[in-house]
Amino acid sequence: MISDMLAEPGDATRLEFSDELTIYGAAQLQARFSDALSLGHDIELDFSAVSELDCAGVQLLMLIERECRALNRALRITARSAVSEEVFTLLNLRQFLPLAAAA
Amino acid sequence: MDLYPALQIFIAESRELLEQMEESLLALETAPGDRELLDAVFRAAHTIKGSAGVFGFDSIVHFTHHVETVLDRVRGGQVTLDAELSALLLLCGDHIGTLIEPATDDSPLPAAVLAKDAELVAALARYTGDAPAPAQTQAPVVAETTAPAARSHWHIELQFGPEVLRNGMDPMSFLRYLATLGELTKVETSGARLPALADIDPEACYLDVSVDLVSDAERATIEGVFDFVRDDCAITITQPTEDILQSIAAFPEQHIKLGDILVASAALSDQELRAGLALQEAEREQAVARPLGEILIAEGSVAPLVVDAALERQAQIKQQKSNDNRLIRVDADKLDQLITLVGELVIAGSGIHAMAHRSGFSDIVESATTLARLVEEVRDSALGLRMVQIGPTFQRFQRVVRDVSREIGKDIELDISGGETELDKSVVERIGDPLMHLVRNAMDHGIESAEARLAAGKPARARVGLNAFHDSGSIVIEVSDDGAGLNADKIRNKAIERGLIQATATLSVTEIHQLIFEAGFSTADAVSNLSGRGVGMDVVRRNIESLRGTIEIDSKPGVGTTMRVRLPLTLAIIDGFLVGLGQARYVLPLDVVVECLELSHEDRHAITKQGFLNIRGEALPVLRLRDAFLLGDADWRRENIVVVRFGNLKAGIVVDELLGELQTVIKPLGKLFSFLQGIGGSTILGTGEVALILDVPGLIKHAEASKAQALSVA
Repeated sequence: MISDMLAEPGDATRLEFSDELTIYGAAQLQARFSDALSLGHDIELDFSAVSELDCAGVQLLMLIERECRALNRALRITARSAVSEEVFTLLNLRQFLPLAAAA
Repeated sequence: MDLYPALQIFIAESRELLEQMEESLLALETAPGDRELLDAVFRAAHTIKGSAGVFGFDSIVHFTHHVETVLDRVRGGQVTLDAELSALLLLCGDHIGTLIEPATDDSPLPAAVLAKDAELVAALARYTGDAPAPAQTQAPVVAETTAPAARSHWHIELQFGPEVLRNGMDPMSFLRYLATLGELTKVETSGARLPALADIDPEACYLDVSVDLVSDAERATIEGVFDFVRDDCAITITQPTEDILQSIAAFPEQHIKLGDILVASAALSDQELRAGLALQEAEREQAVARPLGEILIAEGSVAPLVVDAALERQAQIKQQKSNDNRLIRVDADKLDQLITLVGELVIAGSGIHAMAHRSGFSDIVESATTLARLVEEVRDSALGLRMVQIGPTFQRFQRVVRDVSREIGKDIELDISGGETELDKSVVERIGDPLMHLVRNAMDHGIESAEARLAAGKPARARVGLNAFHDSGSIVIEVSDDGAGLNADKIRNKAIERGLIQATATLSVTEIHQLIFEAGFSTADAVSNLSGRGVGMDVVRRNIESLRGTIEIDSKPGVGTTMRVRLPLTLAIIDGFLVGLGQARYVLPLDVVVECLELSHEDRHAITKQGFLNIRGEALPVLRLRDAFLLGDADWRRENIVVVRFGNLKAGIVVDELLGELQTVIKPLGKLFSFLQGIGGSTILGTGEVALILDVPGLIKHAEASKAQALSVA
């Protein structure tokens, strides 16, 4: 459900997601985000393979954005699947979680 | 529920609407195709139908619906409003008027009305192309085609409770569903309630979403979307522009600038308005100025919807201004009560004034003077409340002249002037009938046939004029025609035939003209449907005299006749001139007083001898009030003469004392005293004394008569 965490050699922790980001995996996602933050790097999120995204996922995304901002880390979203695109558009989060140019 | 007062309003308003409808229809005859007039006619019919529907007057709704249908076709251009249709619609207006009367009780409509109903509906059906439906079997068509509900803006605030997600609902699904109802113009998702990542219950919901929705859905539909989360979720649904729109709708009428409306409704800041206006100014210099509303929308200062609402309100205010519709209905009884109270105030005020003067304290006199001035103003504005323009009364004659001229086959136009002249409402109400008779008389008897007119070198189209103006405290209403004028010989012969005068009597032309006001007098060769039934002019004269008015005739053979009705402006309060006769006090209306002279011994002698007085070369008929009222000679050594004028007549009235001006309330004399000549009413003075009000026209007539007698003897 959630792909492996890839520690980048530079200063970004890259997270890839496959399948669903929903309430069913919310607890795991929370743990993953916590771990990623604990690594002390910027974070890159790749949503290219997200097949389902619900509000449980969205609110965790909003949280990690907030924590990154608080910790003065960069949060980049490198790719968005059509499904995630639709959700971001619907909730008007496109500005909030901008698509960053791939590093 | 007591519908009675509401019903009264319905009837009154419907009558007004019918009058407007008639006025507009007549105006349309001279300005065919005028959109505004046409709309006014349609609106009148539509409003009557709607109100009648509220009261459940099916007969009115049913009939008016047919009228409305035809009018709609006219508006849509499928039917042309020709003279025939115009005449039909006027008849329909009349018919609605007759329907409104019996609508107030439950009794079935009289057969004649039903027949008329069916006849008119059939006539109307020719214009709609429908087969005439039987009048009473068809169900009344009350339901309006429901206009598509206006798209409105909604603002929805959603605070999802923690259990929403666990209950298997995703907030996004609500948004997706809302999107099917309309357009989601703005969505804001807030995670403000989210705890720290470490503390979050990942399966609980912390999201707040606010949504702006443009939709034509009803509030209930939108609320229905959230039925499933109602318990878990705080939902507020508002129309964010609602408040603004409401304050725009309730905007006071004195401002009609769009910017003012927007700023005062908090839709626009002063700064934004100034910026918009500056932009407009700049554009104007380049001669490309857009309307302010457009600029503000383009600048993003105001939502288009708000500008629309403000523009609508602006148009409404403008229209109301132009309609001068800012009137309130007041019960006439309340108004009368106010006038009565003001009358008492006037009496009490002059009492105080007199006492203050007697007291000799200058500060009291000063206060009393101020009070007197205020009382006078209160009196004037209270009386002003009752003043109405005569214009609407005149306008009603348009229809009369139009109908009658067709009926008698004469081409006559009505020429109205002085419609803005104001007079007391009670006078206006009672002058309608006499005027109607005078106008009909002028059309029927005054105007010659077209052939006779052409033979006399006059235009075939005849003219009947209504005019009004103020003249020395009276209102003068003239009914004139450019007809043949009165035939003095004919009147004279008729009067002799009827035994009204002796065959040998010598009468002036004016006196002969006045004969037509005698009872049972008619000069018409043929008794027509309209007038000339031998009841009329004497009734007219009696009606006018009951209003303390007079009527005179000015007629030139071949040129035309003018009937001049002179009426007092008001029936309640007058400025008076107080005179004394021994201990008794009398009041003359100040308007008629021209001058006051001291009566010298020689003058008195001349009067006793001749019955008239030579004042600056003018023979002034004089009436000694002591003689007229049989008061005998007083021990008063000095006498004064008050010169009064009424219309073209002047006379001197000899009294003992001149006591000065006062305001006075006319109290009518009881029936018991109605036969008294020369007395018009009574009033109570500030001192509590009763004074009689002199009937000046009556006295002048008396004086004139004695002068004529004196002259003929002399």
